[in-house]
Amino acid sequence: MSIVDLHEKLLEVLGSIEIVYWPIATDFKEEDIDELDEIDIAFFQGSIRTEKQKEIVEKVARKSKIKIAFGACACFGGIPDLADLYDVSEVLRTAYIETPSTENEDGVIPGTKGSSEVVAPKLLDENYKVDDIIDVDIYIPGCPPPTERILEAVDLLVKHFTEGRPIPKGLVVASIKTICDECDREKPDTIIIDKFRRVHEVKIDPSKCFLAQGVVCLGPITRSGCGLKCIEANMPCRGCMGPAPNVYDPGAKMVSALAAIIELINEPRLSDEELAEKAQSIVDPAGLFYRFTLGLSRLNRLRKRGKK
Amino acid sequence: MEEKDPRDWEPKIFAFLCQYCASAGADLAGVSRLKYPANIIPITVPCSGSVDMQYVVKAFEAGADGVLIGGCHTPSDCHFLRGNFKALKRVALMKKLLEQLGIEPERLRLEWISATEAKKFVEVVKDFIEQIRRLGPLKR
Amino acid sequence: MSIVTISPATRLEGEAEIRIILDEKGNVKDAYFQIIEFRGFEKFCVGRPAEELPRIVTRICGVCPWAHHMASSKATDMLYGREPPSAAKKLRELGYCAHILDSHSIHFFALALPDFALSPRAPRRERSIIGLYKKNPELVKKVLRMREKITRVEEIIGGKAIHPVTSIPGGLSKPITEEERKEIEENAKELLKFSMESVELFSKLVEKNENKDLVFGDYYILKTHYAGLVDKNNKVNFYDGMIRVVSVDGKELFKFEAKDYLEYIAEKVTPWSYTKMPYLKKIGWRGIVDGPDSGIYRVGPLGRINAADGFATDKAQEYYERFVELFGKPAHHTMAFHYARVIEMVYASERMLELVQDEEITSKDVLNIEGEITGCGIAAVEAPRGLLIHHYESDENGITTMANFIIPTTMNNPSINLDIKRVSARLIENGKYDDGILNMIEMAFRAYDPCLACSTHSIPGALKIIVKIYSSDGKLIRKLGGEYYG
Repeated sequence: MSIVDLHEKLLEVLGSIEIVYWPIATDFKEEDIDELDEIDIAFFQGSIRTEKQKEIVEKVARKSKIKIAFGACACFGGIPDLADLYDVSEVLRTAYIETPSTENEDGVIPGTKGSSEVVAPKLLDENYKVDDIIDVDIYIPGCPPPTERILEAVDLLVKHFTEGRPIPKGLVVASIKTICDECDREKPDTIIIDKFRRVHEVKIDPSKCFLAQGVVCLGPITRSGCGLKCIEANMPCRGCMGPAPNVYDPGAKMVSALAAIIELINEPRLSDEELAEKAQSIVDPAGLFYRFTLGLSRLNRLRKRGKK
Repeated sequence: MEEKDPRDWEPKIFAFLCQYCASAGADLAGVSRLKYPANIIPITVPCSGSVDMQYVVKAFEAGADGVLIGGCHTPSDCHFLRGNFKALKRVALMKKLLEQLGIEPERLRLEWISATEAKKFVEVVKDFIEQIRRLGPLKR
Repeated sequence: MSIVTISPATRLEGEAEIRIILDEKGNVKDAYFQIIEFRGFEKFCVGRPAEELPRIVTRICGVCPWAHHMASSKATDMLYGREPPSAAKKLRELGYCAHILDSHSIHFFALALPDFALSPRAPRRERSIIGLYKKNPELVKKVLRMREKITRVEEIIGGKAIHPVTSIPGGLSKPITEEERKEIEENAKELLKFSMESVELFSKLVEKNENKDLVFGDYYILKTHYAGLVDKNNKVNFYDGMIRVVSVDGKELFKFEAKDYLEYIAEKVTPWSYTKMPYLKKIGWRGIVDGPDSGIYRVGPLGRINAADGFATDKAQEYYERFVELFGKPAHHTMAFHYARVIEMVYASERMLELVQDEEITSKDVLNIEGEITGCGIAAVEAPRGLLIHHYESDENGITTMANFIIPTTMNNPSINLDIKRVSARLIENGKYDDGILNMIEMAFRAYDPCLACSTHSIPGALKIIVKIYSSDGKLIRKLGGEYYG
């Protein structure tokens, strides 16, 4: 959709490229991929959840000169990667057996062979981001990728193919600065709060830093380049542009950053337990700090590998 | 590669010890010839507040089954004034994160150990090693 | 026995394949519309703070995120026991009408139109918006210009056009300014004109000989029940209302509030698709068949136009009357979905104008944070593709303990399968088929504007490009990459 939302600029882009496979908008089928000798640019959008998706990604990647991970899911796993907080069997159980409207006395799970003459492709044991499966040349993060960044990438690609301009491997088409760097809300020198607040617990002042109001915002660790639309809409950043350069694990980084940035009122006079309680009043740190980036979580990877 | 016999496993603890208090306390334990098990790998850091939780992640990845952070007593012993508060907040929140990711929060531990508390250092280390022994190796 | 596979299904949102089973004589024995993506939102929404859900569930779909955002907003309003201020509800509905336009316009022009404006049997590589652009560049340019106006409205109200963020339990995170209001009003006026032109365009196209048969003939026709949200006058409303179910003969069968959905709707599971099969419990499940005794029902533009008694705005109501003359009431022809869809563009534009001219619309009072947590939120909206239900439960701290979604495309799943099976049996005989026939089979699902990411609550897709460099006077100076079609 974000490509269609280039609006009229899309026509300029289309003018210099030829699309050979794009299921949402064109009728090329899988057999058309098989007939291609080579593909110049492949955009991979979304994360990889089924065996079939993995096969197609690998098939296309083999023929492609430049491979692009397009969007937060492709780059970092995205929100669907939150399924990897659980076992795939639990996820399937909830969806197909436990939900209150589902009638499934036989316990049928899609993707598992039964007596049906046709079966859905099997799920992989976890959700994968694109570079877990293939080598990626360019990352265009964001959910969705911002229009300006898409155009920037297209410009880069056209110059690469027409002028031979090199593209650094693993280029991330986003700012190296963080959201905080570009945010023009009022930021006090020291942030002192009485407590953390969830987004619905307070009427957020649009002129002041979210963190200064006790509302957790992922600005400190998130790349900019998105135009800060959420911030302008008076909602805190949830990290869809991915972590700033040199972040090793976004969740652990955010824990560290929050504690460094935020002081509680009368902190030295609080007991250890009281201070710990205040820190732990942040709900769902895993689902928040890794909202779009669980695929980058080293901790989660440890746990997943440990299960195998 | 040969499979290690699981019965041979020994808990491995990485300890980030602040220069002014905990690390000095550990040194004093050594100088005083207090015995403690060798399962611990001490790393001196300027301040408990300088320990980014990403180091904890790296420690787990590098083979630690438990991570100990040693700092100066709250409220007023920290050489850098508030570093220990930072560490406390970080460890508290990190434990919550670990739990959500299916890693036992007890594997991360924060203790205040002053430069003279050699005995406390030894007790903490012994206790932590046994705690980790009961938890078993971190699955990785 | 042999299997004809269409892989992937194209010109729809999401990932699907069609498998048509032929018997020894080469005639159609069965057909399956398999939806092959899955993510598992029902599981991983558990443990998330409920107030975050409106911004998490938008990622069920990149084409209709607003539908989930709105259903989720209303459900979390209820979960937190909060009544949004009336200006907030109007703003939400205003942004949401823009979204209906967004989704419908992209479907109509990019996904559906190539079959009618070019031909269902046009060469495969031309059957796309790119092919349309080659034939009629001015039209496509206009569509893109209009869409820019649409997404601008979505951005003003939702923060982002794709994946809006402004809805919170109890209202919105920010009001709109008078300047923004004026911009929306200007855009709405233009969009109304554009919507009416779209209806006229489709009207002309269905009169073309090649299309007439497909639209009004018996290739694609199912006698099902229909469901849609209606306001207190039984007129179509996208944002709020009661769920009305109307029978194969057009009689009202049920009318209920979203919170009672479990009494009326249940879902079956099949191994061959990640999408379930909802049906009306009180009628019963008879398998993938139509008719008054079958519990399957259709939603979306056709569902709404059949379940309601008309539209609450003038021009849309005029077109509605024209529609009923053409198709009857209820309309059972599947291709009527397309017609109903463009009429809804007119309604959405008119409703936008009404709302944006409302004196309250720039009110600063857009958020109510008072309320007692109830721990349960159930809400319905009309997604572009049909009735959408979100159901959440939480603990006393507002942490989600259960999330259930009933998705419109899922509700249409049995009918899509049935339509595909019927038209395949009609078109494939003695094992003979070609690309045009396969596309005509695909037209069966395309009318529903299915959204498969939604119906499986997932998104891969790949876009592959060969580079052809043209000089400014149109000469091909370089082509990189091989021939890609014979």
